Amino acid sequence: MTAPPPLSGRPLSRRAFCAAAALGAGALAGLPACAAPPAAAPVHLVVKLPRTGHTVVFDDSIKQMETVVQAMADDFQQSYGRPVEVEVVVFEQNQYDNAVVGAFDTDKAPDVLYGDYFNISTYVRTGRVAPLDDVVTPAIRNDIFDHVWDMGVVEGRPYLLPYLTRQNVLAYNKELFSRAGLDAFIADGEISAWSRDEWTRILDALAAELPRGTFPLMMYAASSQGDTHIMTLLRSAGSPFYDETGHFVLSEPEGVAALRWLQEGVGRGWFPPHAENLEIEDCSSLFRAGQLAIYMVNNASITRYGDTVGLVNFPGPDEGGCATSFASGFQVFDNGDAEKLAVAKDFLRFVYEDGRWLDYAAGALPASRRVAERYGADIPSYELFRANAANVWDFTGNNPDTRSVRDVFYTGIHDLLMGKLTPEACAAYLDEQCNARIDEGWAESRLHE
Amino acid sequence: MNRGRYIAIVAVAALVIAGAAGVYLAQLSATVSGNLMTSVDEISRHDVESIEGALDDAYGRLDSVIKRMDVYEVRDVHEAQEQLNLEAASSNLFNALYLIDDTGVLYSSSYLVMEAGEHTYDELIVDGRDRFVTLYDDAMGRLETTKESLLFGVHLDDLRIGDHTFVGLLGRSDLSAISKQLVIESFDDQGVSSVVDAEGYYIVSASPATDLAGRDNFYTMLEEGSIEGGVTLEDVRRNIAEGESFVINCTTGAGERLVMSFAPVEGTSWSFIMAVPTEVFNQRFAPFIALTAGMLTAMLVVVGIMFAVILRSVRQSMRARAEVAARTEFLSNMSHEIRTPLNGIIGLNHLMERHIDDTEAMRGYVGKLGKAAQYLLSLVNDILDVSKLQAGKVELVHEPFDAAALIENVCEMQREPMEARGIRFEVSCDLPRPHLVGDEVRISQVLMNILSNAVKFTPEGGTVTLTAAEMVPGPGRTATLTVSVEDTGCGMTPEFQRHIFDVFTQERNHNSESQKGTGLGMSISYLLTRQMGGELAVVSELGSGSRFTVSLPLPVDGAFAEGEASALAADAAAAGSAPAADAAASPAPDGRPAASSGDGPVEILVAEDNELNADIIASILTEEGFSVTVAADGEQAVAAFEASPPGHYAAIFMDAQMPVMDGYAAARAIRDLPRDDAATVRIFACTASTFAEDRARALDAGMDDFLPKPLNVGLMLQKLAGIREGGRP
Repeated sequence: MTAPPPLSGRPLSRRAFCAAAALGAGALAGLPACAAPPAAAPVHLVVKLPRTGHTVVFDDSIKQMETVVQAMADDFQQSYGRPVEVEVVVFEQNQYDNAVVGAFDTDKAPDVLYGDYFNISTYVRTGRVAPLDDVVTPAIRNDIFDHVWDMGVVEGRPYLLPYLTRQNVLAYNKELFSRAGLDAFIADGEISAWSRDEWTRILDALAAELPRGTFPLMMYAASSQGDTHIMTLLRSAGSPFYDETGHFVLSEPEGVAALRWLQEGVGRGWFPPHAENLEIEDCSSLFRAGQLAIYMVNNASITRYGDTVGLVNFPGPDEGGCATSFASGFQVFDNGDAEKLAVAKDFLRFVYEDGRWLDYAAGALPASRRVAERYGADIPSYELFRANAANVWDFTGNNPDTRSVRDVFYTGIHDLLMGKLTPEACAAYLDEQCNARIDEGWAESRLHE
Repeated sequence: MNRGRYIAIVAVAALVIAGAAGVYLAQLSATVSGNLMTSVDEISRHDVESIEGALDDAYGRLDSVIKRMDVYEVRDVHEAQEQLNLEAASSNLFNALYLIDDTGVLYSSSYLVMEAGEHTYDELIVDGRDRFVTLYDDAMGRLETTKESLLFGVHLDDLRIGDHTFVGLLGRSDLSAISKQLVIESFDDQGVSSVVDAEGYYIVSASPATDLAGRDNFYTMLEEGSIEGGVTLEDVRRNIAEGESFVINCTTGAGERLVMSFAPVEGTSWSFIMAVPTEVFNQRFAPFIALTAGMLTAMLVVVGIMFAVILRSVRQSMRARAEVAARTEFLSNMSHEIRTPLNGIIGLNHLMERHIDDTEAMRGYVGKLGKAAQYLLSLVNDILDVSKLQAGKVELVHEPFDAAALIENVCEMQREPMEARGIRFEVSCDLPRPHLVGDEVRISQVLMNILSNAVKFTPEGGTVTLTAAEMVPGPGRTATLTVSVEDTGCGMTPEFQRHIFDVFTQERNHNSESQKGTGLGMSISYLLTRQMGGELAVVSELGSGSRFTVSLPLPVDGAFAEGEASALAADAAAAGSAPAADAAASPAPDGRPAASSGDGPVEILVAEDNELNADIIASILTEEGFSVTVAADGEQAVAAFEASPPGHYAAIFMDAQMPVMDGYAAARAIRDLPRDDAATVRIFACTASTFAEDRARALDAGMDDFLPKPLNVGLMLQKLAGIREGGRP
């Protein structure tokens, strides 16, 4: 850590962090609070977010993103120029729809939602998510990296304000690689990129050399959690995956070849047996236990492995390979109450105009250039991942309903791994089913005026 | 019973009712609470049985996995893990399955191998239980999930697969995934059911977390609130750990008061908790309170009405009995009062027969006979007056009269008896406007009763003071005539004062027995005064005397308004001073021709069906120099008049009730006769019907005047004297 944390000269405990935030906010809020009408009823703002692990380079006490959002809410509540009650509601990762759509037209409808783009971008098309042109000042816009900014823009207007990103690459177990005679591929201080042939050779070697119960490559398709890395792997034979209209094109030869490559991997022992029944957590556990050679990590999670792992991009259509990126940020919902909508936007202005709260993105890859510059040196492998940004591929394809696509995508892969579908049949199935969801998404799409 | 005793009885009754209601409501509350707790217990028992059934089902599924291992002839641990993988994939209960060998190594359905030192799940196997379930806690070793999960386990009897001996099989289930299988009722949605383990973590809750990071703890919730009845958090913790069933009352950190019922789940360290807001108990109890209060109120109202009806009935009965007693006493007194003069009359009649030739004795007897007869007359008049007043049949007349003259007349009538008894009589009269409108006769009657009463009860040498005053607000307004009569007599007791105006209790005044009179005078005066809109009040002190004050609102006579009074007085004086000769020579003031007076006696026609009365009146008139013709009924009277020469009869005495033709018809018939004197002959109604309406009926029939029976001979002769002199009587 080379720069002082924004709130304290030393790391704060969670409790101290919240208290300091409240005290600071109270001091800042003095004048506006005094100017507020004394009898005005407070505006009740509901801010929702899924339970998400999060670390901050300058505050070891923070383990969950909800801690940060709650502190933002407390600060805003104290310093806002009129009475406001901000209720922070945390929901589980698998309860997005219940927490958002299920709460529409109730007193728990979200006014502000923080979440991962591939989940919350779906709600932009409900017509409830308000565009944020009036929130975004030139200073805010210029502070956010372009490639992150673009992920929140729909039809030219910003509907999501990015807060941070996580870049996903693959990590390999150096010891298992050595045991399989693959020392030549082990490299420190870089994110490697192997050709498809190299990948095939490495995976075959691992399958042959690793002991029973230890497996070469992660694979899981028991739920929609399996989409990210598999979608990325399907570009390995040169498939663009999406055409220019944002539709799946896996039935083209490159797509079928990639599917075949995966299916053949089952027989060649690249994956744990019956991987179609596994979850990402299963592979994570195997990787941590040294029973899996290659697993997906992001810039935040690699710290837990130290130097026991090396990094490599997914096999891609070009030499650099592929990485994926998850952006997380905020949405504002218009629930029919103009006053609450205005206060919700003020909440985002408060977060993005007050640099302190953007600082708490420093742990993942900050969306803010300023925060990246300030804390980049403290963020593990920041420069590696910054340099790898050129290889990042947006697996969501900017389609209108990513979550629906994910819900059917894994079923095709599940059947492919089981051998129930040929690569061609699987490609046709995925194109048909996923494109149908995309078309339905466009048909039902309704942007907020 | 005095007012204080009534209040005391009502207060005691209210206290008894309140106490009974309190005891009843307390008992009712306990019963309702007991019933609710019974319901809570029943639901808890049902829910606990459901949960225990779900647990047994999970254990059975684990047993089936082991059986299928044998069926599929699994040869080594890797094949066993693959088999577990397929079992987990096909299970709708387990997300993962784990075998634990006798060295403590754990093998998962996702191929994870955890050495004995990396976890403590083997401790679940070696604690001697064949079946167990526990909430997943990564403190025992991190498995392939971060979600809240349950770990079901069965003990294996040294299952041999390859070169491994397995001692236990675990099944992991996401808590959110199995929540439907552990779904529990929640007391009509008014309570919250949950299951916690011994550490207080929720197995089932209203808002379950799906991630270990978000799970809540029951004990934390209790710590944030408070427990009633001296129960501590440690008590709760110990009871749950020991598998006790118990109930606590607590208040959450948010201030909600709850009743919590705990029941152990068999075969686990869990406790089922049914939390019902205290408000629910109050809500269940409220209708009973309302119902009870309503019924109690209704009962009290009914009892009150019954009590009032009974009281009223008793009072009416008592009043009726009192009135009957009083009436009986009154009748007895009346009988006595009537029989006394009758006895005198009979006795005098006997004496007169014995001394018929003794003129001096006869004079004395006749005088006494007259007094007895007068007393009887006054008695009958009083009784009739009371009867009419009570029946509301007294019709007051509203005619001008001179109040000063009225009072003077009344005083004058009592001067002689007062002088005879040596009573000093003082009169103070201040009446600036004496000419008023009212019923002169009735006012005289009232004042006469009061004054004569004072005379009766004032001893010799005493004083009676009459004070008359008048208050006139202004010209044309109603004056208030106030006459006060104060005596120095024997006075009255306060008790008697309260009843002095009662009709039937009046006669209880034994003082009156020594006095003449019916004793109804005060009742009549009181009733008359009230009917005239006035007040009659009495202030008396026993042994010192009494003061009766009568106040009457009477309109001022407009004819004697300010400025005219003197002129009218002058006219009256002038009229009164006209020479008698002129009056005799002049025609009657109403233009009627005077009856024949000539040298012969004045002719009087008497229509009377009662022969005795006819004889008496004929004798009296004959002795006074009149010539009398008697007709036995109205028809004969009309015939006699019709047959007489014009102007023959100076007057007709017409009885009202006669056979063949009554007096009213006869009078009309005479007035209708085509002769000059038919309209002018003076007709006197002579009747025992003396009510005002009787008088009015007679005048309507064309009669000129009214002579009530028994006849006042003096008055009758006074009226006839005018006729004899050729003028109006």
